Amino acid sequence: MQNFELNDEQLKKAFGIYCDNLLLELPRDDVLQESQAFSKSFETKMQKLIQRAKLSPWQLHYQMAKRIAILLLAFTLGATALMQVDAIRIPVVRFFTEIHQTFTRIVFGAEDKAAVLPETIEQIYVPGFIPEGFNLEFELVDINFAVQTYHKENEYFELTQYCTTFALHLDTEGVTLEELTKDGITYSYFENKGIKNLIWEQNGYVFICDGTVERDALIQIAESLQKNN
Amino acid sequence: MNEFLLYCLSIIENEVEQSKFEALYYEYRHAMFYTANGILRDHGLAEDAVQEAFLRIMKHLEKIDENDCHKTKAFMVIIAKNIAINMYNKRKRDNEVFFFEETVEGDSSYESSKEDRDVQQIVQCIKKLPELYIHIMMLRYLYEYSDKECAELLKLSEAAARKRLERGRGLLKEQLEKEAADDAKL
Repeated sequence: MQNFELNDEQLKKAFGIYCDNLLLELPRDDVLQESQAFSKSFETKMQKLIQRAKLSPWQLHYQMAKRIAILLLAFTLGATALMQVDAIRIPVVRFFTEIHQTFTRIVFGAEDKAAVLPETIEQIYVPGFIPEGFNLEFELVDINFAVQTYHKENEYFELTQYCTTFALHLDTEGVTLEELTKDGITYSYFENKGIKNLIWEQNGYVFICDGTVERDALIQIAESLQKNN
Repeated sequence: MNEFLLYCLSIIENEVEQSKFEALYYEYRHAMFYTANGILRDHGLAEDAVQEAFLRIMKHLEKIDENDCHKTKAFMVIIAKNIAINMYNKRKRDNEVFFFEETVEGDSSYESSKEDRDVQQIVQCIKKLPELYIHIMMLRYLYEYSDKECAELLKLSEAAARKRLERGRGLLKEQLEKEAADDAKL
């Protein structure tokens, strides 16, 4: 029997051709577009993913060189603070808010410079209180964020837990940010285009609860936050 | 000083607002759905497969070359297909013996070139491999993903990915040798 030695270059070419054949087996894109309709819930989930993708860590790779230069400068100036790491201290997140004309940008960082904030989702938090009739419809846990979406007919609320490595862009055109404090936790609340939003920090993570439910219900949900076992 | 660091980070973030992910979604979702639905025959599950595919792809966007539409489309389709096959098998695992191990033998629309007969022979043998081996080998050899990246994209352990690659390559070699022996008999 003949002995074949496969090399990577041959395999690359062969899989390239295989790839071409594979695509030729697919109907034309315009035909597919006309014949397929995605469900509303699928479109909603994908829109959420798209929004998050704009903020996700993969983007960091794009302008790595530029980032390194900027961060090195920042590191040089802030080296002393950054190098003092004490894992025992309870991290307190501070919001660094830039209010622009049409959106608010929130960057997170530790108020206590020596604090260590979780960079990945190590503990998932869930609402202990769920308004009547709402059921968990969608759940997603990624490296640095976790989402739970609850639905009841046309109403929804969503709890998103972010690590502080995120920077958020919230659509706040023409809205007023209201601050309220309960049991030592400061919540930022605003309504925009019928959607209520509540943002707060707890246990080293940042949470956003948004939805069509009433403001008080959002606050109740926020207050009921508990570890998911 | 912390404010300065945050300010620096904010400059960086503002410079990378583009959404490659969004472009990929609108460009390839139909082909991905078509492929997944062809395996699962269930609209909802096929949507789940597409969504899962985008979740996995999300973490590897930096390696996707948007300028090479052909290659990118095949990549997106392969990921969706792999997930759909796994979903199909998972669904069947408990109550049926049959597993989806489709091989893709069939008409080849590619015109064989005399200069590259060896490669053509490999292509014909690739088509006889189970899909799951094809997917990982495509990622490795065509898209040049590392073992670790292949493992992440296909939701395998790194060791399992390596093993699957090794086995796929071995099966391909065996297939080539078998075909050559068959040809020799004729």
